Amino acid sequence: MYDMPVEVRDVTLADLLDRVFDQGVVLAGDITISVADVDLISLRLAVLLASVERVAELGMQAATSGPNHELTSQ
Amino acid sequence: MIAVGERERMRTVSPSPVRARPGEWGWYLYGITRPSRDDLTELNASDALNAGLPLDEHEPVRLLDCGDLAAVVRRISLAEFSDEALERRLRDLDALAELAGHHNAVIAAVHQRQTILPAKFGHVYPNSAALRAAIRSRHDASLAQLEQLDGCDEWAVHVYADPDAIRARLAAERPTVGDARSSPGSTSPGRAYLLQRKLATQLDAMSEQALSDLARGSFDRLADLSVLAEVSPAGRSRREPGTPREVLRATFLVSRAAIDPFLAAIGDIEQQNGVRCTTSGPWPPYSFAALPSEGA
Repeated sequence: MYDMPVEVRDVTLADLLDRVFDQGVVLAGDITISVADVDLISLRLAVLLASVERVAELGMQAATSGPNHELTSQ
Repeated sequence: MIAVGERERMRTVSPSPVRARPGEWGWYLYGITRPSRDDLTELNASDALNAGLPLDEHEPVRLLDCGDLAAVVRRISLAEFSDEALERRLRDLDALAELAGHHNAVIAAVHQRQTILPAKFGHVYPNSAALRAAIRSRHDASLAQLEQLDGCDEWAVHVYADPDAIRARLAAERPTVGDARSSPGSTSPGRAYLLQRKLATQLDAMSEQALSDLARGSFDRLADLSVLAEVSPAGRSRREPGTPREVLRATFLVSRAAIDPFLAAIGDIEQQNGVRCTTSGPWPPYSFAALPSEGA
């Protein structure tokens, strides 16, 4: 990101987390993060890949049954 | 649809043989793009791409071809994505920011070269067959999306207004309200109190309406200058009296050719309404790309 005023940085971190982590996911974690008192982001963070076993299991379904099974939407 | 097994070719800077036993390694997906002659050598030379993600540093970011689409991937050790390993990282803001920063750095680097549908953090596939199956399942939609996103960046805009200042301005603009508050006049104290309460309630409603109009007006104006636009849920911040409130949080897909008028409009919104806007961008189009996992 360029040309970002200094005071905007914390909001930018919030923007980054908003974009990179999927808030619509329902999984194990429910994390609330305070970013420099500017904002509160509630990230329903899923331990996205619940377990290695599950990753393998879902992946095999995807590979063998054709239709996609997504790790993050389960 | 693409025939299974078609073009199993893989591009890498330094091709590394698959040396791990099944189950030990997975493919971490950054996003989907079109096949390219770019071998990502330059991209892999950047230190930024090797920090943050738990990974074997020797594993480069690769383009895994899948017909007329290509996955931006990196081979990772599945052990690094175990419950404990992830939870530990996700519960610490610094570690979280580092992970997010890494994920974004790779996607942003590709985004500067060619159009990409960014993946959210955490898409891991146990093998290339599973990954290709996922990509094939949304082949047509992904191609259409790439076309729509060509030449565009995502921008985040937050608009902050001070509700107290707006309320004060409305009160000043409405003499009847102001009069009633300051000089109840000849009415009895009881009636004056009730009248004051009623007017205060009206003023509250008018203030909320003004904030809502402000948000709507700002969004519409910026949306007109965008390819796509989306309102995000505003921050649930605790607001101290006298401090600005986030009245709008929105995301816009803006053509690079139209970025100047877009940013100018943000300045105008600030000036004309006496509000503060914060803007971040250009982002890869996270909010406008639906990957295999995300819907449809």
